[in-house]
Amino acid sequence: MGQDRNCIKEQILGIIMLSRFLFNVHRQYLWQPEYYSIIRLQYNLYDYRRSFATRPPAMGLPSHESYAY
Amino acid sequence: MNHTLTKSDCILALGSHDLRVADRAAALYLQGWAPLVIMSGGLGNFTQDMWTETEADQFAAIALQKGVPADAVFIENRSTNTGENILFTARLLKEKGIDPNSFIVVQKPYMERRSYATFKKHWSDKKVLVTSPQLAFDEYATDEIPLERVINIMIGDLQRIKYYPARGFQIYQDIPAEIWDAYERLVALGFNKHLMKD
Repeated sequence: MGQDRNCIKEQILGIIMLSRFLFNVHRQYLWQPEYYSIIRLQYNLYDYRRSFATRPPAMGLPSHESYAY
Repeated sequence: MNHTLTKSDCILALGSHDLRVADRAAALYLQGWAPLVIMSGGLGNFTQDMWTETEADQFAAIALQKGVPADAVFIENRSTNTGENILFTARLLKEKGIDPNSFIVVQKPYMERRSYATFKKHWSDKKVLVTSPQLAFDEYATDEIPLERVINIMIGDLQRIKYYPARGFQIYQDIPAEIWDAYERLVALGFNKHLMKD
């Protein structure tokens, strides 16, 4: 299970990094690991509701910044 | 790309499977950002298996429903990729004897960069701003465009941003190292359904 959690964490971090680069509308909550959007993203990608219903894995998200130019 | 819109000669909506792009283009016209809307797109990579009516014709119908007058809408409905969107639109405008200098290109949110880079490659003497439906990533997916598909397309698009300049399809754009690292990790984890075939 620990390996699964790490895999999920890596996928979500990567997806968020890409969305920061490609999307021009950003909601600050997406960068807050406790926020429901992270959990929702997990739920949509994987059916791990029971494992993560109460607490998402610690994400260690990078601070928000824009890649606009 | 967070471009700030300015009044322009023309709105160019690049067709796709996402009809919200047409909504955005129509809204921009109705807000007065440009006096002309071009809907560009035949049946492309995604829509050829989904629809029989071209992207541009569907986009135009949406614009008319929203209140854009028919004489303000041009339709280019033969292009099948972003490069053709630009090239065939340029040909259409030339046939009509119109030479706009400035464009607002409307595309899906994650394709703003590709659209800009493609436009500047093919039409470098024109001014271009890009915009898209004003949606954040976690608001974007729908039943018709599910999240996993969006992620695969995003990853494929980032790959094209990196490699298309060498093929002459786009101008070069810098990709930060941490973004490319995330791309490589996601591809390794199986998000590879929209990668280039060669």
